[in-house]
Amino acid sequence: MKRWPLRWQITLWSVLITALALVTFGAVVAFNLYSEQVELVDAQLATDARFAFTYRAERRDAGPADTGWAAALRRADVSLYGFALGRTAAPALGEAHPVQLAQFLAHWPPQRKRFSRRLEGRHLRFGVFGEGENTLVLAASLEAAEESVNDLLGAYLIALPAVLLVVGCGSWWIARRALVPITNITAAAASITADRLDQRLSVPATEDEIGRHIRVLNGMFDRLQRSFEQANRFTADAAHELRTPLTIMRGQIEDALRTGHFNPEQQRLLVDLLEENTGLQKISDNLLLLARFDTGRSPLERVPVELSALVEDAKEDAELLASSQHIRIAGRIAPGLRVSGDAVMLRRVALNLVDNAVKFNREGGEVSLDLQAEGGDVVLAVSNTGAGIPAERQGTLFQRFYRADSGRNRDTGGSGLGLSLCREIVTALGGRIDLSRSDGERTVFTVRLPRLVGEAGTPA
Amino acid sequence: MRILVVEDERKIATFIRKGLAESGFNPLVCGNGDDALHLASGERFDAVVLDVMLPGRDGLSVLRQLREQRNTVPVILLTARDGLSERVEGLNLGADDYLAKPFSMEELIARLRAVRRRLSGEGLSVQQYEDLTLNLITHEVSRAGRKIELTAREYALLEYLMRSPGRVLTRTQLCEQVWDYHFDPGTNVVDVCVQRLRRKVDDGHAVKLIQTVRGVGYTLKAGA
Repeated sequence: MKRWPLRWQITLWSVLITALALVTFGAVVAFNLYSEQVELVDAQLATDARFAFTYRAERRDAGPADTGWAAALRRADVSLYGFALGRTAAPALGEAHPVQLAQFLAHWPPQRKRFSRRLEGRHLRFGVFGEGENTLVLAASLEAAEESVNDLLGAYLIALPAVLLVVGCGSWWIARRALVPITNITAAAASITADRLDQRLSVPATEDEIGRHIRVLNGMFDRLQRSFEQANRFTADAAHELRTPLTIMRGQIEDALRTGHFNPEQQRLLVDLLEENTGLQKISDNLLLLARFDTGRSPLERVPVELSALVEDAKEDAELLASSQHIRIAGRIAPGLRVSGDAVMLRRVALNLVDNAVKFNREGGEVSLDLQAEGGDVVLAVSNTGAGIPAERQGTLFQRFYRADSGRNRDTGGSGLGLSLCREIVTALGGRIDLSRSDGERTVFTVRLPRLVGEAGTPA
Repeated sequence: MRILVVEDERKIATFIRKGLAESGFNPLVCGNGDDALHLASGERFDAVVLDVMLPGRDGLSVLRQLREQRNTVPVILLTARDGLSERVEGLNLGADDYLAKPFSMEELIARLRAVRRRLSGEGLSVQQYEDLTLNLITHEVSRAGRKIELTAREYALLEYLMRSPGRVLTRTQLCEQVWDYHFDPGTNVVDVCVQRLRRKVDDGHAVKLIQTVRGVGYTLKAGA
């Protein structure tokens, strides 16, 4: 599941929690207010009851039919709905309210002294009072109490969205402020790449979470840089260390070939050894070169190089390489195109592409070398009519020790450093190398380098 | 021709001495920079083969001292293959040539011969073997007065062969020197190029100059 940005999550949660708190708070307040109102009603009912009993006591002889007290209560503007006096199962009702109270009250006399009940659509509070043999039931409306609670809740409902909006905006702002250092760290960390591993994030003076975070990250970069440098140094050291034994082996084999007397079998063996020796030397050279590139210090010369002549040579090499396979060599090489670079390395790039183009071609196919100016660039396209490179492998083509066919043996393999080295060289010279086409018909590698113009004596 | 070889790795020093002696040079081997400086300051050598990486005083420092003493003995530096900076520094300090390790003996001998030619004032620009001449400046090649048109690779191949006449050059050496590229074993690019060169140089001549040494390589030598 794709998660929301942290800023939105924080905002959303803040709003939710605030809403929950406000609703709970509102409910508690409303409940308390209602209880208080009900208590006030109860108190009023008690006062009324006392008045009724006093009235009855003064007119002891008047009999149960005398409901003057009720009239008196009503005049006092008290919500009075009914009464019962005496122990009778069906008490007489006061005139104040026509409702058959006894019918409504299931059991007489009522068990509870105070209760609320809905009667004919009105919410009423009942009070049951007893004095001697007499029981008096009074009822008062709860409308006023409900109204005040409803008013309060209404006010709450109007205020809630506004409060939530304020909380939402506030927490969004706080979240953004809190996340700014993190965003900055992300941007800074992203700029620390392999060739700029010596850079560090700037540590703030404060010892807060962000400060600790940055310190931890910097520590991680330290370790990363150390191991990167170690790997690099190891490669360089290994290549250096190999040089002396390789020089000795080579010198001794050549010496033996020159001066010894061997039968052809032994001679071939020595020549093979010599071949393997230089192969090993090339691998170690290339590893050293890649290690140099990795340290970010380009080991390349930058001098004017006439690429046209260099590619012409490569074209001749293509002919030499392809001579036994009936491969046609084609292409147009524009004359006089120059770049700034390292002639030895550029020759290696051209030869590598040509070598591959012939190697992975089909019998009777074609290798084409085209060199031309394109805007401010010089573009070399080396193409062949081989089977092409499978789509899923095109992405890893320029990686180290990569070979298009992993099952390929050494006879056509090389060290696998070729194309990765080509890319390092071309990139270091400010250019780029791409596989620009590879289908069943044609595979094209394109090298693009900034063109060198000007300087007398150069046909531009 | 007396050569001072300064190389601390004993086995390398041994085959350099052996190879130089076989080719008619008179080598003296020494294993560290201080001795080398002492020897070169005291005796006359025709050339110094100087390893850059030496224990104690390194090769570049030896070279600097020599030049400060106004000693103009030709110096060929043996450098690391990737050592662009030390190569440049060496040449700036007054080295006459450099050779990257690992190198082939043939190459070192050819460089020393070039130094000798420079010293003796022999024509630098034109190389001759039998009736074959090669102009290093104009890249013109002719045999018995008749001009031969060569491609770039054929010329480079012939130039390399002519630097060491009579010595057998392996395919590996030719490949390294002419192409500076490691082709897969089994690639016959060298053989194809030699065949084409041979056709241009030897066809129509009774004396063949480019000889195949079976199983080893090629050599420039007058023969049938």
